Formats: sequence, C-alpha cells, structure tokens
Amino acid sequence: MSKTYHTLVGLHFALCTLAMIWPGALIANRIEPTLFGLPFLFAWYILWMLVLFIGMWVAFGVRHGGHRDE
Amino acid sequence: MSDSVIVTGVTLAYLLVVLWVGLRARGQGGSSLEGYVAGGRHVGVVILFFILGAEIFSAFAFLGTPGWAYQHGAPAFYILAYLSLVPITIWVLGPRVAALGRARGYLTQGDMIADHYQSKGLGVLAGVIGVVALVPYLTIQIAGAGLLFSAATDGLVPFWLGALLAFLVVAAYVFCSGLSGIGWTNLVQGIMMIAIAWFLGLAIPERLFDGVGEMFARLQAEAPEHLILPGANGMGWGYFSTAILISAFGGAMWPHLFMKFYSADSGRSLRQVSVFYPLYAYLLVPLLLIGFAGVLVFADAPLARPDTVLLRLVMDVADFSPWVVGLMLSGALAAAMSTGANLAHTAAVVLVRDVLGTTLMRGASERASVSATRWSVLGLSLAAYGIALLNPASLVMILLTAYGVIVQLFPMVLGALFFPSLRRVSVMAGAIAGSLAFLLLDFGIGSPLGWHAGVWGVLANLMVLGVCQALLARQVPGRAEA
Repeated sequence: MSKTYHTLVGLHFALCTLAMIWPGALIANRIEPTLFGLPFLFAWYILWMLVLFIGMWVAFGVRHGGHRDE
Repeated sequence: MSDSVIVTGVTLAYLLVVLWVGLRARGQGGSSLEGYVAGGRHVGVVILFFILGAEIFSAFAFLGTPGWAYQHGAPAFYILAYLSLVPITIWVLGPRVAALGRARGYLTQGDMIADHYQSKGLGVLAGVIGVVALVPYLTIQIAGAGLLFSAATDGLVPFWLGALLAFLVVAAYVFCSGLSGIGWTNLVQGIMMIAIAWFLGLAIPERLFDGVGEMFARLQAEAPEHLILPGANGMGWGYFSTAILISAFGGAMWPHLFMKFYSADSGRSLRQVSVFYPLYAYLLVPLLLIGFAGVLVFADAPLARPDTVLLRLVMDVADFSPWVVGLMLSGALAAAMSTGANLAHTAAVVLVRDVLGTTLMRGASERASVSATRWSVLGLSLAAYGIALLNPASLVMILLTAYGVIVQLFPMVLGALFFPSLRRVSVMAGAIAGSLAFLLLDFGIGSPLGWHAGVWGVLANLMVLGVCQALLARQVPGRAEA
C-alpha cells in the first residue's frame, strides 16, 4: 500500500503543478467562458487550488486518519 | 484632519490588542532555548497554520499582489500559483525535518547541515547567508509599515514614527514571548488580514462597478490583454512557469519557514497544516480583484507606483469612512508585522546559534543563549529600522540576490534528509557552482530562454553535484559516506 500511496500522492502533486504552469495553463489561457463572473484563466487557478486541497485532504485521511501516530 | 485622527486611533487600538496578546503568551513555551525558539516543539495545528501562513503573506503580498494585477494583469496569477503550491514542500519535507530535529536536537537549518555533513564551517556559512538575506527582508516590512502609516493618515503619523510604532510592538512581544508570542499574535493578525482582504475585495468592485462579474465584463471590453497571459507587458511562458517553480519549491529554504518545521508537535500536524494551506492562499483572490478594479479606475491617469493601488482605491476613489480606512491600515500592518516578527525572531536565532554559537559564544550556557537571542531580536530590529530610514534603493536587489543563493541550499538539505550517500564535497561544489551560475546570469549575461535565473542555478548545481558523486564513487570504492 505504501508504494502505491506515495506514487498516487506524487502524481497528484505533479498534475496540480503542471496545471498551474506551462503547459497546463496554456490550454486555459482564454477569457470565455466566464465562470462565476470570473475570466476562464482566473477561475482555472481557483479550481486547481481546490483540487490540490481535496486531493491532499483525501491523502491525509488515508494515511493519518483515525488515531494520532508518528 | 479629524478623519486622520480616527484612522490613527483605530490603528493604535489594533496595535495595543496585538501587544497585549503577544505579551500574554509569555511563559507558555517555557524559558528554555527550545521553548523560546521552537515553542518547546509543541505547537499544534491551528497556531502552526497561522504561523506558516502569516510569514509568507507579507507586506509584499498585501500591497504587491494588487499592484501586479493592476500593472501586468494575468501574470499576477504567478503569486496565486506559487503560494498554493507551497504546501507540497511542507508535506514532503516537514515531517522528516521535524522528526530529525526532535531526535537530534536541531533548531536551525545550520544545525542540521553542520551535523549531517560533519562540518562546522558549512553550518556557519548557512547561518551567515541566512542573516544576510533576512535583514533586508525585515527592513522591507518595516519600511512598508512606515509608508502605510503615513499614507493612510495623510502624514499625521510620519514615516519614521509609523515604522517605529509597528516594530516596537513586534520587538516587544518577540523579545518577551519568543515563538509563543508570534504564534498567538499571528492568529489574531491572520484573521484580521483575511477579514479585511475579503471585505475590501468584494466591496470595491461592488461600489465601483456593481459587482465582480460586471467589472470583468468591462475589463473584457476595455482591456482584455490584462485577463490572459502574457498580460499587459508581455511576460513569457518560460519566465512565468520557472518563477512559479523556484518560488514554490525553493521557498522552503528560507530559514524562517524551514525552522518552523522543528516547532510542530508532530509530523501529522505538519501534514494537516499543508492540507489546509491552499485555503490560506485564497486570501490572494480578493487582493487580485482590487488590482483588476484599479486597471479600469486608473486607465487614464496611471499610478506612478503600482503597489499603491490598494491605498489609492480605498482612500481616494471608493470613498470609505475613516473607520474602514483605519481597519484597512490595521489589516495591511498585520501583514507586515506578522512576517516581520518571524523574520526578526529567525534572524536572531540563526545569528546566535549558527554564527556566534560555534565561534565567539562556544560553550555558552543555555540561559546565556536565550538571553543573547532576545537581545539580538532587539538589535537586529533596530538595525533594520536604521536601514529603513536610510532607505537604500538596492534593498530589493540584495533580497533577490540572497534568495537566489539560498535556493542553492536545496540539494544540500535534500541530501541531509533523504539521500545519505551524497558527500560533503559534492553538495558544496554544487552549491558554489549553482550560486555562481545564478549570479553570473542575473547580473551578467542575462538568462537563456528568458527563464528565471534561479532555475539555471539549480540545474548547474545538480550537474556539478552529479559529476562529483560519480568521480568520488570511482575513487573510493565501497565507501558509502564521506
């Protein structure tokens, strides 16, 4: 479980990083369609911040949920 | 005139609250060195979250973020991206650093480097670089506080007095309460910053344009280049991407961030902080909205200094009451002071422990070390205040240069944490090569492909490190560690 876990967490981090720089942000570099009144590129960053948060939350729950260890 | 008095009164009241909270925390960490420096390694999730958050959200984040959005437009998302990627480094490095620190009694970066590589000289070097980088950083916070005070009170409180007031408060609670004082005040200051930023970020577009959506609709019609990359001034993808990478992952090499890993009560707490960290980064969203409002408001008469866009909008354009201006000043001061407190504390610890502790003060008692650290907090704060009054223009350049060099410690620190086979000679040669490459590109020939020079420095660093490792492995077969 440990190796799969670390690989998945690493992939999540890599994906979020690449989404915020070239080439990920390149495909989002547009004004339309607007989301919640924000230009698409602005909304893109806000959404990926949320994805990063949710992924880390899940990873934390899997590894450190329940009792306190370490 | 009476408006300025109200603004000053609100802000002084806020400073008194912060001082009271900071002094009350006295004695919570105990009077030992570990207590003063690392809160006895017992700092829990909530306080840790606000310490790590507030120290990155400085006066620059509060004023510079709207400034960037106003001046460049979309390239300002670079700040949003790098701050939301910082928790990855906390997640990966934090628990390991905390565990090593607990097991071997480390309190600074220099401790770990000197012990792992068995070289006192390397520890002193890391200490000197740290202090040289931290003092200009502190000076920028102090100067920021002075500028904010004098601008928001229309000169009723002049620059020298505003800077002095804000930093006397900071120096007083750091002197008395150490990391516990920083923790509790950063909780107050962090909540203040978040509340003020969101209030202003939503209120300004609402007052001026009837809402955020309408504001962006007008921007799309009048200044669409601000809404996508490369922005209003043509920032290339190469620079944008590499600047994010170097700031997000090199940022943890700043001593004031790195040392906080030692103060965590467990590795689990550090992981939990990193989970919630992106939520702190959302603080930048309203600040970006303010900057974008400035693009439309100041379209005909551009501001001479982009980082004054928040102040000008609040004071001249949006016509808020002096009570709101006072709260805005308090929120912006909170950003400067909470970062400044961490910087003064860290610089003093590094100076006493890494630089003096292994040279002039060798063998000093724990009590003497705590006392020396306390007085260094005052001394360094006063020195930074003095530099702020002289206001040398080269300050930002010293800061950026020092940062480029600090990032070159990254392979050395990674080696100490995860790669025991890396030898002292290799990491030193790598750090020197990386620093020289960075300085050469930054001040000399310019950076290839328009990338951030720090990235080339790290690549040179890793290449030299790899070559040294390969050569050494051939020379001394069978010996894993030097």
